[in-house]
Amino acid sequence: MKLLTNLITTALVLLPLAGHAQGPSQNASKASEHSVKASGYGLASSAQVASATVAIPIIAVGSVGVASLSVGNALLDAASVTSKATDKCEPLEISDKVITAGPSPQALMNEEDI
Amino acid sequence: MSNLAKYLCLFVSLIANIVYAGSHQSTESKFDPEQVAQFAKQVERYAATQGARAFIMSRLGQPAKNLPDGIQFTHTAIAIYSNIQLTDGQIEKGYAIHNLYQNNANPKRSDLVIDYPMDFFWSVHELKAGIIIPSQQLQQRLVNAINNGYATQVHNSKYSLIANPFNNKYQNCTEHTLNLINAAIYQTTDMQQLKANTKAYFQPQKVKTNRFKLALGNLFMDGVRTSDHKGKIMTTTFSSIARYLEHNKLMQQAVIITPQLTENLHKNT
Repeated sequence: MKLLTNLITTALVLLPLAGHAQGPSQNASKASEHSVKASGYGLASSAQVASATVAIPIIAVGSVGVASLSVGNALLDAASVTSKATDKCEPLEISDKVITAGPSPQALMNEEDI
Repeated sequence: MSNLAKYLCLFVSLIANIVYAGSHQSTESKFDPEQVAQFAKQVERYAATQGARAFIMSRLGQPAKNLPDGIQFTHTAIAIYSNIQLTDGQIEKGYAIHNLYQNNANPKRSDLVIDYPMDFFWSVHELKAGIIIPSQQLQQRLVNAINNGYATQVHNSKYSLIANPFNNKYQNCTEHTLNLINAAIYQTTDMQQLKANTKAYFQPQKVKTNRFKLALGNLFMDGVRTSDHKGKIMTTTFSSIARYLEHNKLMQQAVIITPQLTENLHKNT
Protein backbone atom coordinates (compact mmCIF):
# COMPACT_ATOMS: atom_id res chain seq x y z
CA MET A 1 0.00 0.00 0.00
CA LYS A 2 2.85 2.32 0.90
CA LEU A 3 4.50 1.53 -2.45
CA LEU A 4 1.26 2.32 -4.29
CA THR A 5 0.94 5.61 -2.40
CA ASN A 6 4.53 6.56 -3.24
CA LEU A 7 4.09 5.73 -6.91
CA ILE A 8 0.87 7.72 -7.25
CA THR A 9 2.41 10.66 -5.36
CA THR A 10 5.40 10.67 -7.72
CA ALA A 11 3.16 10.62 -10.77
CA LEU A 12 1.02 13.46 -9.42
CA VAL A 13 4.14 15.54 -8.74
CA LEU A 14 5.00 15.30 -12.42
CA LEU A 15 1.59 16.37 -13.72
CA PRO A 16 2.21 20.18 -13.62
CA LEU A 17 5.34 19.72 -15.70
CA ALA A 18 3.32 18.37 -18.61
CA GLY A 19 2.18 20.65 -21.38
CA HIS A 20 -1.50 21.45 -21.54
CA ALA A 21 -3.29 22.81 -24.56
CA GLN A 22 0.02 23.99 -25.97
CA GLY A 23 3.54 23.06 -24.97
CA PRO A 24 6.05 25.79 -24.20
CA SER A 25 7.43 26.27 -27.68
CA GLN A 26 5.11 24.40 -29.99
CA ASN A 27 4.41 25.36 -33.55
CA ALA A 28 0.73 25.82 -34.31
CA SER A 29 1.03 27.50 -37.72
CA LYS A 30 -0.14 24.53 -39.78
CA ALA A 31 -3.04 23.96 -37.44
CA SER A 32 -4.22 27.55 -37.56
CA GLU A 33 -4.32 27.76 -41.36
CA HIS A 34 -6.19 24.51 -41.86
CA SER A 35 -8.64 25.14 -39.08
CA VAL A 36 -9.46 28.68 -40.13
CA LYS A 37 -9.96 27.67 -43.77
CA ALA A 38 -11.91 24.52 -43.00
CA SER A 39 -14.11 25.99 -40.34
CA GLY A 40 -16.08 28.23 -42.69
CA TYR A 41 -16.24 30.52 -39.71
CA GLY A 42 -17.68 33.90 -40.51
CA LEU A 43 -14.60 36.04 -40.13
CA ALA A 44 -15.29 39.73 -40.72
CA SER A 45 -15.61 40.42 -44.46
CA SER A 46 -12.43 42.48 -44.55
CA ALA A 47 -10.40 39.77 -42.83
CA GLN A 48 -9.43 37.32 -45.54
CA VAL A 49 -7.17 34.43 -44.66
CA ALA A 50 -4.01 34.26 -46.71
CA SER A 51 -0.89 32.11 -46.69
CA ALA A 52 2.51 33.70 -46.71
CA THR A 53 5.48 32.49 -48.71
CA VAL A 54 8.21 34.84 -47.53
CA ALA A 55 8.58 37.81 -45.23
CA ILE A 56 11.28 40.43 -45.72
CA PRO A 57 12.06 42.89 -42.94
CA ILE A 58 11.41 46.50 -43.81
CA ILE A 59 14.42 48.69 -43.32
CA ALA A 60 13.94 52.21 -42.02
CA VAL A 61 15.80 54.96 -43.86
CA GLY A 62 17.10 57.76 -41.74
CA SER A 63 17.61 55.66 -38.64
CA VAL A 64 20.80 54.05 -37.43
CA GLY A 65 22.54 51.41 -39.52
CA VAL A 66 20.73 50.82 -42.79
CA ALA A 67 21.68 47.38 -44.07
CA SER A 68 21.84 46.31 -47.69
CA LEU A 69 19.53 43.53 -48.73
CA SER A 70 20.04 40.90 -51.35
CA VAL A 71 16.41 40.31 -52.26
CA GLY A 72 14.15 41.24 -55.13
CA ASN A 73 13.32 44.90 -55.41
CA ALA A 74 9.60 44.21 -55.13
CA LEU A 75 10.02 43.33 -51.50
CA LEU A 76 12.30 46.17 -50.59
CA ASP A 77 10.61 49.04 -48.90
CA ALA A 78 12.72 51.68 -47.21
CA ALA A 79 10.47 54.23 -45.58
CA SER A 80 11.31 57.13 -43.37
CA VAL A 81 9.80 56.49 -39.99
CA THR A 82 10.99 59.15 -37.64
CA SER A 83 9.48 62.60 -37.46
CA LYS A 84 12.33 65.03 -37.01
CA ALA A 85 10.11 67.50 -35.24
CA THR A 86 9.19 65.15 -32.42
CA ASP A 87 11.66 62.27 -32.87
CA LYS A 88 8.62 60.04 -32.41
CA CYS A 89 7.92 57.01 -34.56
CA GLU A 90 5.05 57.27 -36.97
CA PRO A 91 2.39 54.52 -36.87
CA LEU A 92 3.03 51.69 -39.28
CA GLU A 93 0.64 50.21 -41.84
CA ILE A 94 -0.78 46.76 -41.05
CA SER A 95 -2.70 44.60 -43.52
CA ASP A 96 -6.31 43.76 -42.69
CA LYS A 97 -5.73 40.23 -43.98
CA VAL A 98 -5.29 37.33 -41.57
CA ILE A 99 -1.92 35.94 -42.65
CA THR A 100 -0.77 32.46 -41.72
CA ALA A 101 2.37 30.53 -42.50
CA GLY A 102 2.26 28.32 -45.58
CA PRO A 103 3.27 24.65 -45.53
CA SER A 104 6.87 23.70 -44.89
CA PRO A 105 9.02 23.00 -47.98
CA GLN A 106 8.93 19.31 -47.19
CA ALA A 107 5.15 19.29 -46.79
CA LEU A 108 4.71 21.32 -49.96
CA MET A 109 6.94 19.02 -52.03
CA ASN A 110 5.19 15.95 -50.67
CA GLU A 111 1.79 17.43 -51.59
CA GLU A 112 3.00 18.21 -55.10
CA ASP A 113 4.30 14.68 -55.51
CA ILE A 114 0.85 13.16 -54.86
CA MET B 1 -0.74 -10.64 -11.64
CA SER B 2 1.07 -9.81 -8.42
CA ASN B 3 0.29 -6.58 -6.59
CA LEU B 4 3.74 -5.18 -7.40
CA ALA B 5 3.18 -5.81 -11.11
CA LYS B 6 -0.22 -4.11 -10.93
CA TYR B 7 1.26 -1.07 -9.18
CA LEU B 8 4.03 -0.84 -11.74
CA CYS B 9 1.55 -1.01 -14.62
CA LEU B 10 -0.49 1.77 -13.04
CA PHE B 11 2.65 3.88 -12.53
CA VAL B 12 3.82 3.36 -16.09
CA SER B 13 0.41 4.28 -17.49
CA LEU B 14 0.32 7.47 -15.41
CA ILE B 15 3.82 8.45 -16.51
CA ALA B 16 3.03 7.65 -20.14
CA ASN B 17 0.05 10.02 -20.01
CA ILE B 18 2.27 12.75 -18.62
CA VAL B 19 4.89 12.26 -21.31
CA TYR B 20 2.21 12.14 -24.02
CA ALA B 21 0.59 15.33 -22.75
CA GLY B 22 3.97 17.03 -22.69
CA SER B 23 4.90 16.18 -26.26
CA HIS B 24 1.48 16.19 -27.94
CA GLN B 25 0.98 19.05 -30.39
CA SER B 26 -2.45 20.57 -30.12
CA THR B 27 -4.22 21.15 -33.41
CA GLU B 28 -7.22 22.87 -31.92
CA SER B 29 -7.84 26.27 -30.47
CA LYS B 30 -9.96 26.74 -27.39
CA PHE B 31 -11.13 30.04 -28.92
CA ASP B 32 -13.20 30.80 -32.00
CA PRO B 33 -10.99 31.63 -35.00
CA GLU B 34 -12.61 35.08 -35.03
CA GLN B 35 -11.46 35.71 -31.46
CA VAL B 36 -7.91 34.65 -32.22
CA ALA B 37 -7.84 36.69 -35.45
CA GLN B 38 -9.17 39.80 -33.69
CA PHE B 39 -6.71 39.46 -30.83
CA ALA B 40 -3.78 38.83 -33.17
CA LYS B 41 -4.67 41.98 -35.14
CA GLN B 42 -5.12 43.94 -31.92
CA VAL B 43 -1.58 43.04 -30.90
CA GLU B 44 -0.19 43.80 -34.35
CA ARG B 45 -1.95 47.14 -34.55
CA TYR B 46 -0.82 48.13 -31.07
CA ALA B 47 2.81 47.54 -31.99
CA ALA B 48 2.27 49.33 -35.31
CA THR B 49 0.78 52.41 -33.65
CA GLN B 50 3.92 52.56 -31.53
CA GLY B 51 6.01 52.48 -34.69
CA ALA B 52 7.71 49.24 -33.62
CA ARG B 53 10.00 47.85 -36.30
CA ALA B 54 11.00 44.97 -34.04
CA PHE B 55 9.69 43.81 -30.71
CA ILE B 56 9.74 40.86 -28.35
CA MET B 57 6.46 39.01 -27.94
CA SER B 58 5.33 36.27 -25.55
CA ARG B 59 2.28 34.06 -25.21
CA LEU B 60 0.68 31.83 -22.57
CA GLY B 61 0.19 28.21 -23.59
CA GLN B 62 -0.75 26.87 -20.16
CA PRO B 63 -2.82 28.08 -17.21
CA ALA B 64 -0.79 30.73 -15.40
CA LYS B 65 -1.38 29.01 -12.07
CA ASN B 66 0.64 26.03 -13.30
CA LEU B 67 3.76 28.08 -13.98
CA PRO B 68 6.55 28.53 -11.40
CA ASP B 69 6.67 31.87 -9.59
CA GLY B 70 8.22 34.62 -11.66
CA ILE B 71 7.31 33.04 -15.01
CA GLN B 72 4.40 34.68 -16.82
CA PHE B 73 4.59 33.19 -20.30
CA THR B 74 5.49 29.91 -21.98
CA HIS B 75 6.90 31.04 -25.34
CA THR B 76 8.82 34.10 -26.53
CA ALA B 77 9.92 35.24 -29.99
CA ILE B 78 10.90 38.33 -31.96
CA ALA B 79 8.44 40.06 -34.28
CA ILE B 80 9.81 42.01 -37.25
CA TYR B 81 7.84 44.50 -39.35
CA SER B 82 7.97 43.01 -42.83
CA ASN B 83 6.77 42.98 -46.39
CA ILE B 84 4.94 39.65 -46.54
CA GLN B 85 4.51 38.00 -49.91
CA LEU B 86 1.38 35.87 -50.15
CA THR B 87 0.84 32.76 -52.28
CA ASP B 88 -1.07 34.87 -54.83
CA GLY B 89 1.91 37.18 -55.20
CA GLN B 90 0.40 40.11 -53.35
CA ILE B 91 2.55 41.88 -50.78
CA GLU B 92 1.06 42.91 -47.47
CA LYS B 93 2.61 44.67 -44.51
CA GLY B 94 2.62 43.08 -41.10
CA TYR B 95 4.75 41.37 -38.51
CA ALA B 96 6.62 38.16 -39.16
CA ILE B 97 7.49 36.28 -35.99
CA HIS B 98 10.86 34.57 -35.71
CA ASN B 99 10.50 31.61 -33.36
CA LEU B 100 12.48 28.77 -31.89
CA TYR B 101 10.02 25.89 -31.65
CA GLN B 102 10.47 22.49 -30.05
CA ASN B 103 10.55 19.81 -32.74
CA ASN B 104 7.30 17.83 -32.68
CA ALA B 105 8.94 14.57 -33.74
CA ASN B 106 11.97 14.99 -31.48
CA PRO B 107 11.28 17.10 -28.36
CA LYS B 108 14.98 17.21 -27.52
CA ARG B 109 15.58 19.30 -30.63
CA SER B 110 14.31 22.65 -31.86
CA ASP B 111 13.80 24.41 -35.18
CA LEU B 112 13.64 28.03 -36.27
CA VAL B 113 10.24 28.81 -37.73
CA ILE B 114 8.74 32.02 -39.08
CA ASP B 115 5.04 32.41 -38.53
CA TYR B 116 2.48 35.19 -38.09
CA PRO B 117 0.37 36.49 -35.20
CA MET B 118 -2.63 34.31 -36.07
CA ASP B 119 -0.42 31.21 -35.90
CA PHE B 120 1.40 32.45 -32.83
CA PHE B 121 -1.77 32.84 -30.76
CA TRP B 122 -3.74 29.93 -32.25
CA SER B 123 -3.45 27.40 -29.42
CA VAL B 124 -2.92 29.68 -26.46
CA HIS B 125 -4.58 28.98 -23.15
CA GLU B 126 -5.41 32.65 -22.68
CA LEU B 127 -5.63 35.58 -25.11
CA LYS B 128 -2.80 37.47 -23.48
CA ALA B 129 0.38 38.83 -24.97
CA GLY B 130 3.53 40.20 -23.40
CA ILE B 131 5.18 42.86 -25.57
CA ILE B 132 8.59 44.49 -25.11
CA ILE B 133 9.33 47.34 -27.51
CA PRO B 134 13.06 48.05 -27.52
CA SER B 135 14.64 51.43 -28.13
CA GLN B 136 14.61 52.59 -31.75
CA GLN B 137 18.32 51.95 -32.12
CA LEU B 138 18.02 48.38 -30.81
CA GLN B 139 14.98 47.79 -33.00
CA GLN B 140 17.01 48.72 -36.05
CA ARG B 141 19.87 46.47 -34.97
CA LEU B 142 17.43 43.59 -34.49
CA VAL B 143 16.08 44.10 -37.99
CA ASN B 144 19.62 44.09 -39.34
CA ALA B 145 20.49 41.01 -37.27
CA ILE B 146 17.53 39.09 -38.71
CA ASN B 147 18.44 40.25 -42.22
CA ASN B 148 22.02 39.12 -41.76
CA GLY B 149 21.00 35.63 -40.66
CA TYR B 150 21.98 36.02 -37.01
CA ALA B 151 18.98 33.94 -35.89
CA THR B 152 20.51 30.83 -37.45
CA GLN B 153 24.00 31.65 -36.29
CA VAL B 154 23.02 31.92 -32.62
CA HIS B 155 20.73 28.89 -32.69
CA ASN B 156 21.56 25.70 -30.81
CA SER B 157 19.08 22.96 -31.68
CA LYS B 158 19.64 20.97 -28.49
CA TYR B 159 16.49 21.91 -26.62
CA SER B 160 15.81 22.24 -22.91
CA LEU B 161 12.70 23.79 -21.45
CA ILE B 162 14.72 25.46 -18.70
CA ALA B 163 17.98 26.12 -20.53
CA ASN B 164 20.73 27.99 -18.69
CA PRO B 165 21.46 31.25 -20.59
CA PHE B 166 25.02 31.37 -19.22
CA ASN B 167 26.20 28.49 -21.41
CA ASN B 168 25.39 27.06 -24.80
CA LYS B 169 24.79 23.45 -23.79
CA TYR B 170 21.06 23.65 -24.45
CA GLN B 171 18.73 26.37 -25.63
CA ASN B 172 15.08 27.33 -25.33
CA CYS B 173 13.04 30.00 -27.08
CA THR B 174 13.76 32.76 -24.58
CA GLU B 175 17.51 32.09 -24.56
CA HIS B 176 17.53 32.22 -28.35
CA THR B 177 15.66 35.54 -28.17
CA LEU B 178 18.23 36.82 -25.69
CA ASN B 179 21.08 35.60 -27.91
CA LEU B 180 19.60 37.52 -30.83
CA ILE B 181 19.19 40.64 -28.73
CA ASN B 182 22.79 40.44 -27.57
CA ALA B 183 24.04 39.63 -31.06
CA ALA B 184 22.26 42.79 -32.21
CA ILE B 185 23.66 44.86 -29.35
CA TYR B 186 27.24 43.63 -29.60
CA GLN B 187 27.20 43.15 -33.39
CA THR B 188 28.63 39.66 -33.12
CA THR B 189 27.49 36.04 -33.29
CA ASP B 190 30.58 34.74 -31.50
CA MET B 191 28.92 32.52 -28.90
CA GLN B 192 31.77 32.70 -26.39
CA GLN B 193 31.62 36.48 -26.45
CA LEU B 194 27.84 36.48 -26.22
CA LYS B 195 27.85 34.16 -23.21
CA ALA B 196 30.58 36.19 -21.50
CA ASN B 197 28.50 39.33 -21.93
CA THR B 198 25.36 37.51 -20.75
CA LYS B 199 27.10 36.38 -17.58
CA ALA B 200 28.37 39.88 -16.94
CA TYR B 201 25.19 41.84 -17.51
CA PHE B 202 22.09 39.62 -17.56
CA GLN B 203 20.19 38.41 -14.51
CA PRO B 204 18.15 35.29 -15.34
CA GLN B 205 15.01 34.20 -13.52
CA LYS B 206 15.32 31.65 -10.76
CA VAL B 207 12.94 28.77 -11.42
CA LYS B 208 11.12 28.30 -8.14
CA THR B 209 10.20 24.67 -8.26
CA ASN B 210 11.28 21.54 -6.51
CA ARG B 211 14.57 20.19 -7.84
CA PHE B 212 13.38 16.65 -7.23
CA LYS B 213 10.41 17.35 -9.47
CA LEU B 214 12.71 18.72 -12.14
CA ALA B 215 14.98 15.71 -11.87
CA LEU B 216 12.02 13.40 -12.39
CA GLY B 217 10.92 15.54 -15.30
CA ASN B 218 14.43 15.12 -16.67
CA LEU B 219 14.00 11.36 -16.51
CA PHE B 220 10.53 11.10 -17.96
CA MET B 221 10.01 14.08 -20.24
CA ASP B 222 12.01 14.83 -23.33
CA GLY B 223 13.09 18.45 -23.43
CA VAL B 224 13.41 18.91 -19.65
CA ARG B 225 17.10 18.86 -18.77
CA THR B 226 19.06 20.11 -15.78
CA SER B 227 22.66 19.09 -16.57
CA ASP B 228 23.50 22.59 -17.84
CA HIS B 229 22.87 24.06 -14.39
CA LYS B 230 25.13 24.18 -11.36
CA GLY B 231 23.25 24.98 -8.19
CA LYS B 232 20.03 26.95 -8.58
CA ILE B 233 18.02 26.55 -11.76
CA MET B 234 18.02 29.89 -13.60
CA THR B 235 16.55 30.54 -17.01
CA THR B 236 15.59 33.35 -19.37
CA THR B 237 12.07 34.73 -19.22
CA PHE B 238 10.00 37.56 -20.69
CA SER B 239 10.32 39.51 -17.43
CA SER B 240 14.07 38.99 -17.13
CA ILE B 241 14.55 40.24 -20.69
CA ALA B 242 12.38 43.29 -19.90
CA ARG B 243 14.44 44.05 -16.78
CA TYR B 244 17.68 43.62 -18.74
CA LEU B 245 16.64 46.05 -21.44
CA GLU B 246 15.16 48.55 -19.01
CA HIS B 247 18.29 48.51 -16.83
CA ASN B 248 20.42 49.19 -19.88
CA LYS B 249 18.05 51.92 -21.14
CA LEU B 250 17.27 49.89 -24.26
CA MET B 251 13.52 49.61 -23.77
CA GLN B 252 10.72 51.96 -24.78
CA GLN B 253 7.94 50.02 -23.11
CA ALA B 254 6.72 46.66 -21.88
CA VAL B 255 2.99 45.94 -21.93
CA ILE B 256 0.54 43.13 -21.34
CA ILE B 257 -2.26 43.03 -23.90
CA THR B 258 -5.57 41.24 -23.45
CA PRO B 259 -8.75 41.72 -25.46
CA GLN B 260 -10.01 44.01 -22.72
CA LEU B 261 -6.99 46.23 -22.07
CA THR B 262 -3.39 47.12 -22.59
CA GLU B 263 -1.48 47.28 -19.32
CA ASN B 264 1.79 49.20 -19.22
CA LEU B 265 4.47 47.47 -17.20
CA HIS B 266 7.25 49.93 -17.94
CA LYS B 267 7.14 52.90 -20.23
CA ASN B 268 9.95 55.31 -20.86
CA THR B 269 8.43 58.50 -22.21
